[in-house]
Formats: sequence, structure tokens, C-alpha cells
Amino acid sequence: MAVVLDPEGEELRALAAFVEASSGLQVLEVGCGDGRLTRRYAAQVARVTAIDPDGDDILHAQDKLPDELRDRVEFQAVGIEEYRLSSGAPSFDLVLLAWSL
Amino acid sequence: MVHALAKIHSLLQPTGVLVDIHPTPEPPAIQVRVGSEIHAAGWLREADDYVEYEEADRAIDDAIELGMFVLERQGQFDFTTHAGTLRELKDHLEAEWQEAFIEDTTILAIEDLLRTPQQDKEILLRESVRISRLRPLPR
Repeated sequence: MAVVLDPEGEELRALAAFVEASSGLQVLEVGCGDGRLTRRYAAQVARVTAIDPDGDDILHAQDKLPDELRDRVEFQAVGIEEYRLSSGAPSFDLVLLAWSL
Repeated sequence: MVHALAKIHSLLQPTGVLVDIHPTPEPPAIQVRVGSEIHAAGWLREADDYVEYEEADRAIDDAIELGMFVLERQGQFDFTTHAGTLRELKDHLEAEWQEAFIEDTTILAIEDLLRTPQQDKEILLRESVRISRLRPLPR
């Protein structure tokens, strides 16, 4: 068998318990790595901007993203300190810091 | 880290929330499951003794103390990595967690537990993870 991470789904269950379910959520995920968690929740929200300073991880994340999520997930190779909003105004309903602080 | 939280504060809607997920500073437990029985084998060690997780806890505390956020809710859950063999677990750690290492006594315990003729067996790496929900306060 290959290594399997959290097949019990405890992480997603905890996340769901801590965030009010809403299909309209605009999410910023900070330190998304290869998008392991992004792929698990993205279908439940309106849009995800997922950032990570590691360009290789972002390439892997883009490769692994299922086609049906491509219209709602955008990956960017940038750290939080350098990240800039295009509009300049606060715009996220949820910022998710997953294993990255 | 507090700078990162200040930046996040500026990106959140006033009604938004920050959810932080990071492991607790306690070393993850390594166990071997044989059939329905779970046996303790030892702990995963890390070169810097998980100091970054203590720093993450401190950064959250500092952001609350500075009036950036208020803590609404906190909880814990287990994040479990399943590996079929010791080689698989070592390869995974080498690729994803370079600072981590398994002590010789733990390796011996894992090998001993896996020596059973029972086919239904695996290694479990169980991390205790903290999840926090924070609401931004007006600045």
C-alpha cells in the first residue's frame, strides 16, 4: 500500500465544524503546498485563492487539480507577505492557514 | 509570524474568519495496527523538537493580545498517516518531513510488531492537531 494521509477524514470534519457551510465563501488558503487540502474542500465554496512560496509545490498543485475545480481554484506561487489583492479592498470571507503558520 | 497575521487581518472582510490548523508541539505517536489491535511503538522525533509549533501558538496568542483577533473556538483532532511498511514511512518522511527521524528503539519496536504472520497490519503515525477559529477585530 502507498502512504495514505488521514483516510478517516478527521481534518475535513474539523474544518467543516469550524466554518459555517456556505457555497458563497471566498477563501484564501495560505501555505497550500501541493494542494492536498485544497482539493478536499474547494467544491464546497465559491472561490479559492491558494498561495504558497514554493513554486514546485504550486506546479504539483496545478497538475493534481481535478478539471471540475479549475474554474474555482487559483494557485499562486507567492508568500503571504508578498501577496497583493488586485482590488486593494479586503475581500475574503475565510482565510485558511493550514499547517503553515 | 505576527506580521503574516497582520497581513491576513487586512485581507479579511470584517465579517470574515481566520481558521488556523497546525500540529501541537507534542511528538506524534508511532503505532502498529495488527488486525483490530493497536500497539504503541514510540514517537516521531524532530531535529528542532517541534519548536515551530510552539512559535505558531505564540503568534496566535500575540495576535490576540495585540487586539487583531478574538479567539472564537479551539479544538483538537488526530491526523493519521497510514503506511504499509517501515520503508514506505521512511520514504514519506524523507520527502515531506526532512527534520523528522525515528529513533532506533522505535524502529526495533516497529519491526518486532510487524513480524507477526498476521497479514492485516500497518504503521500509524498519529499527529495531534489544533484548530482555531479567530474573528478579526476592527483596527
